[in-house]
Amino acid sequence: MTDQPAASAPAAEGPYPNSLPRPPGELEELKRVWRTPRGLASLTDINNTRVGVWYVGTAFVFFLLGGILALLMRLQLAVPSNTLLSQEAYNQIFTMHGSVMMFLFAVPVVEALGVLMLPQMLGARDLPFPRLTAFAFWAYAIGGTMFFCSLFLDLAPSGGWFMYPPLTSSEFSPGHGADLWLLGIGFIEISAIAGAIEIIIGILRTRAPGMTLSRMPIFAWAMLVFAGMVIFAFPALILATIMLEVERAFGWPFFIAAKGGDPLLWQHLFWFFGHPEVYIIFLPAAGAISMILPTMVGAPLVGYTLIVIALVATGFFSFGLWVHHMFTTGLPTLSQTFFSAASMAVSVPSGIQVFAWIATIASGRLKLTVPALFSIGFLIIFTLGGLTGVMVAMVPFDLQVHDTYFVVAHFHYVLIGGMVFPLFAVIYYWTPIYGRRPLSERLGKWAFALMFVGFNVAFFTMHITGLAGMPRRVYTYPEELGWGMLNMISTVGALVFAAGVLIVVFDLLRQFRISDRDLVGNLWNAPSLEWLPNDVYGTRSIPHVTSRYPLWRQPNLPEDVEAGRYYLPGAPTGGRETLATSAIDTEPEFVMRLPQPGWPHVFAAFFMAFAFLALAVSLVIPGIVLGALAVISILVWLWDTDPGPDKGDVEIAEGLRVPTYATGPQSISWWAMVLLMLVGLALYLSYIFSYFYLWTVSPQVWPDLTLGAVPAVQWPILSAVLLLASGFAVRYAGYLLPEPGGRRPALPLTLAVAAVCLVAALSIDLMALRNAGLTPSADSFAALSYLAVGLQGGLVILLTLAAGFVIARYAAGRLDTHRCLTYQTTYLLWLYSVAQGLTGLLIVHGFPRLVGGGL
Amino acid sequence: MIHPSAAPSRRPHAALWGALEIAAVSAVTVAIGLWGARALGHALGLGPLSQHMVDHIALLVVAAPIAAWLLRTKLPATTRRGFVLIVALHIGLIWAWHLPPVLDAAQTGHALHIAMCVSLFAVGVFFWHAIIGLGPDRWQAIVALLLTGKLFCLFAALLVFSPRLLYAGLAHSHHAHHGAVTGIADQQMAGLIMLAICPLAYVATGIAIAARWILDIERASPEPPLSAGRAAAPKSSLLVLPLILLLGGCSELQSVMAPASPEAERILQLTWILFAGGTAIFLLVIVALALAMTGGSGVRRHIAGIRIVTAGGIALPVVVLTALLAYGVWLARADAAAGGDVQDITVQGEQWWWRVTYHDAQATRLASANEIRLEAGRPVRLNLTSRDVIHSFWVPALAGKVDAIPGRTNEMLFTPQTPGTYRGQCAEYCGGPHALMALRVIVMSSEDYAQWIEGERQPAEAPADDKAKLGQQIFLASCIACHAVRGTEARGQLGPDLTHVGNRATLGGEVLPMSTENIARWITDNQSLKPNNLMPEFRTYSAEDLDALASYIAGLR
Repeated sequence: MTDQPAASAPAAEGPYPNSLPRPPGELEELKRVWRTPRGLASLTDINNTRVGVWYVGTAFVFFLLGGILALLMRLQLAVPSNTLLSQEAYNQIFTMHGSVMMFLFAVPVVEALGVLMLPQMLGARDLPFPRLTAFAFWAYAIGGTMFFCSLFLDLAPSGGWFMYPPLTSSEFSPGHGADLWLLGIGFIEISAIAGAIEIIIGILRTRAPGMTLSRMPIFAWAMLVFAGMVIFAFPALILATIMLEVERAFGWPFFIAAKGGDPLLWQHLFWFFGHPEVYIIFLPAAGAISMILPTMVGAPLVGYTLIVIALVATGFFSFGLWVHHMFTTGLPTLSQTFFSAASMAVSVPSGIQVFAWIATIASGRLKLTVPALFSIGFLIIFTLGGLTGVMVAMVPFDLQVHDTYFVVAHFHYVLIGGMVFPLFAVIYYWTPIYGRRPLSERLGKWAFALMFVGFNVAFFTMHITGLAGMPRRVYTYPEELGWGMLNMISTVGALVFAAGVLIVVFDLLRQFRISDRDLVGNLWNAPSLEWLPNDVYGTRSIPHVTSRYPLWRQPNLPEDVEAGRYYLPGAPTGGRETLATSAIDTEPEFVMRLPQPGWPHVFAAFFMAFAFLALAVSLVIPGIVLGALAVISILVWLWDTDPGPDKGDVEIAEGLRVPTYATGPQSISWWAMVLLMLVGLALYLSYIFSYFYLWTVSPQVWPDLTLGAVPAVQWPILSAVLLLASGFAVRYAGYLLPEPGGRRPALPLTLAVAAVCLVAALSIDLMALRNAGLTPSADSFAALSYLAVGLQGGLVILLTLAAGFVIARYAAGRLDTHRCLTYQTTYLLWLYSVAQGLTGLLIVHGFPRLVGGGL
Repeated sequence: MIHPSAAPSRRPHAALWGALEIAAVSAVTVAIGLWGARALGHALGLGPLSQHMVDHIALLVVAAPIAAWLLRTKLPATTRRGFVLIVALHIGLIWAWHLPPVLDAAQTGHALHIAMCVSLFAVGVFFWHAIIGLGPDRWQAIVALLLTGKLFCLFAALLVFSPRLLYAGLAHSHHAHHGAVTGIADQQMAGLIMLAICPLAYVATGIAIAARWILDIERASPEPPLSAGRAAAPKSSLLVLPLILLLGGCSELQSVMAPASPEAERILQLTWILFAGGTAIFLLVIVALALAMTGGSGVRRHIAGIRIVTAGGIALPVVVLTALLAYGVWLARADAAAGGDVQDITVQGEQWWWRVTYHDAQATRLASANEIRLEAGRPVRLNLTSRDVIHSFWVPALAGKVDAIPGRTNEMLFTPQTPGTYRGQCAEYCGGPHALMALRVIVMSSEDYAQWIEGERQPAEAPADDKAKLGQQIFLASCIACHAVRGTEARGQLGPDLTHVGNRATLGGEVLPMSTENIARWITDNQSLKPNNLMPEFRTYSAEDLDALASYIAGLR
């Protein structure tokens, strides 16, 4: 540690924010507040490095479990008319293989990587909502384990991972398997959305000063697009799972053709989620490759800006392609041509990335390390998968190969090539940051060779198997069709691939020990911030970044950062904290205070997971009790958020004091609530689409108004008036916030009135529907009308709780004109709910009148 | 919200002049837009709804943004709240005006029609004005454009996928061109126009704004060049391509590679073209990659620039894919062209077998199961539906697959050419023994087919001997709840029609070859042969009774 004068810093940078020597005890204080809990309390840990490793590890375990299921299937299919697995066992296993790989491995592992890497990469101490991250992890880990264990109880779903009704309706899939899928996956989706909100805010608000958007690592760009896509795509699936579960449990016929539903509605909603899902998985992996290759080549990424635009464009376009999963459902030919063209167009952004990587490799000398090998393997396999993707975008060809082993081969090329190979590259590349020893290069090369060869042997062959006529999802086939040899080759290839994976597992068990000290460090001479000297708190001080490749451009950066020359070298508020910067130009705005480890979020995840399990197996009362316990846990957890401005301003650099609290659009809570509103909006848009879609398919179940089968007009009007009143009341409550220390009894009263209005509006709507003689199980029209009430009801429950919470905080003296985040976020959600409620009334009561002759 | 809005003028008539200017610009852009839309529609022979859609696109994404740009200093700057409002109004008005009863009313009443056009244009101008005026807060423009694009896309999807005509009034409207497409085709076309242009306009603008924004930021904080040392001559390393080609060895019973109809042949031709093109592009990428890794520094310098990214990543796919798409459209058109004396057959998927019904000129309904006989050279239309869950009908030698969906009927049109037997099986997972839901199609010469169908029209043969008579008694006592045999009182509809079951080649949908012994085996052991199929096992018969029953069934020819 040298005490160099500031003049030795790079000229572009000027003097350092902080001078040396640092005051005694500063580093010790930093270490103290970030101390990792030990023993049983380590379960309460919320630090992103620790939770991130758990998260990645759990996802990797699910990858291995899903892989074992795949091997079972390969063994069953190795020879014709095999009897290793029964028909029912095979059906459960392929359903679980797809579901586990998609929902318990691919999406979570990407999110986990974001949790683990982003704060380090962006120069933050932690993500903005560490307990939410930990909650998302626990929800996923507990829920996922329960979901997987259904296999051992013969309770597993067997409807295929896309769960097409009517096969998955209560008529054709009695038993709890499908319910477990719907509730389990729905629960894990919620965890994924929570993670996505966290990641967006982390990327936009906690970047190190100077790291403008154009200097942001590509991986962060990819994660930003990823999280945005999760927010728009997953709600469609959540709505679909709600509808199917309600249909199964209460007989509301959304997908039953005889009662005005339509099985194709599920397919639209599912693929509206499902197609973006593929890119959701692929984009972060591609982002990681864009990090690894420049390091291995020792030269900057070629076409950075073009790649960013490609990522963003992929995000936009992927929402317009869903129909290409439905070419065989008898859609109009013209529309097929359109979606065919759109599907091909999306290969342009992928092409840009492929050639940008090749150009990057050419701009230096590629060191053939294990991460580089996996990257090259990725490039080759993914290119092939992309090319077969163009093939299946051709409608006539797709009609032949759809749902055959050709498609199985195609999407494994895209998913294993596009996501698993990059993941292994990432494991070898990034473990030195968190472990004391790097993984073995020699074993890694063996693993790569086995995986690459095994993969191609197994899956290239499947293209031919598909063209030879073998459909997917068959547990057996007769010998005379001649598929035996091809299947045997695939099975051998799969075993070779598995051997490669096993070597990596062995190497990980042997070498990888998560540690806070004696870390390997910057093994590859990589240029990005995650390679700075690291501890649980991230870097000692938060650097000022002047380029895309700070460790290459600022050679002294590691020493200076470690010495505490940059921002926030200590813990001035006496607790965990990180620096919040502005979204675009990363001006330091305030010091974001972060929570300490605790139990409530762990309990919340635990209770909620078991509540979902209880509901899935029809244990309603225990389900409700567990749900209530989960809500209590969450309220306890939320109680010490919104700490208020009591710490005043603190110094993060010499002469630079920033506040420790922010409200309104500057605060991260405000951002989180806006994102949550977007999630709600995306879900509601899916509902609106479903409503009108079913009307176009089955107008006969919309009532003839001359017969008077909808509620009289005064009820929706009264409901609307109450909604508006409730909105104004909450708005008015904002003017009633007391000065710090003061009391304003009108505040709780107004909030209570608002909540009562909200509940009353909902109840009146519900009563009006009932009194008009509508039964939700009668037809899709009635079911959709009640669904609007149900969706609104969810918000009303949430807001009633929120109102009570705000009142409680007022009573406890934790709410005033300065400390008002709780009120502000509640207000935002309230506004959204009023808007959604009014839209719902307009559709449910207005549209039938419009088409039924009642106006 | 910062906007370069002009400072309020102090001239007395400024407000009047401003209003006049706004009116003039609006009138001119609208007139030009609508004139162009009509001319285009006329040239393309668009139907009334498609024309309507083109008109609205002309208003909303052509005239409105141009007017907004021309009037950018005249219109008031948009506030934050105003922005939210205008985005919501823009989306809301599009949806509201296109609710079927509203649009029908607007088509009949002139005043309402004008109100629709004016309000849409006005909201369009304000929308684009707000987008143009956003300046540094561009992220809001991106969110607004994405939302608008998504909502218009959802609306367009409703039009495209609606199985019925949504706008009755438009068929008689004044928009119709002579000889234009009308009805459902017009509606689909209108939806597609919207699906293609509207969201693309918004999404593309969103991407363009995002791109410009990123480039601006990059310009504001330029990236200093890195003095990364040029690489020395790289070590050579060989890239092994473990490509295995394994054609042949497969039976041609159920293969895409052995077509027996012009439709399947065209797809095979396409398959070869796709493979050839795909291999060429793949090799190109591999060669580029190999050179990038192992080439000399001169070669590598050529590859290292941004040029290869634009050439390989943008130009190449655009050219190749456009050509491919044109070819695909041509193929689809060729497939739709079949006509003439079409044979109609209804195929209903049921868990886990295929109910086949011939619609014959003489006998209206001839029922069979898991076997379809066709006349070579005669086009056939399969009407596919399902009684329970979704199935998919696929006989690779004859055509691509089409789903059988409850509540819908999908058509499949092809012309079998080569006589022979072709296997097919359900291609959409349908639960339980989905793997065993197979069928065969037997294509016969015209003479053979005529002979066969004549036999098929007859009722079932009476039992030939005493054993068969005993078998018939047993059959009529215990099988008729599910099975029908024409000419007897057996009229059950749950299971396959057995009138001529003895003529079929297999039992249980390709599970066992047809024979008396196998029929007996099926009756007693079908749950182990085809687990979970819906027929119960009958194990209580004596050996003699079982033999009699099987003989009777085998004799149904």
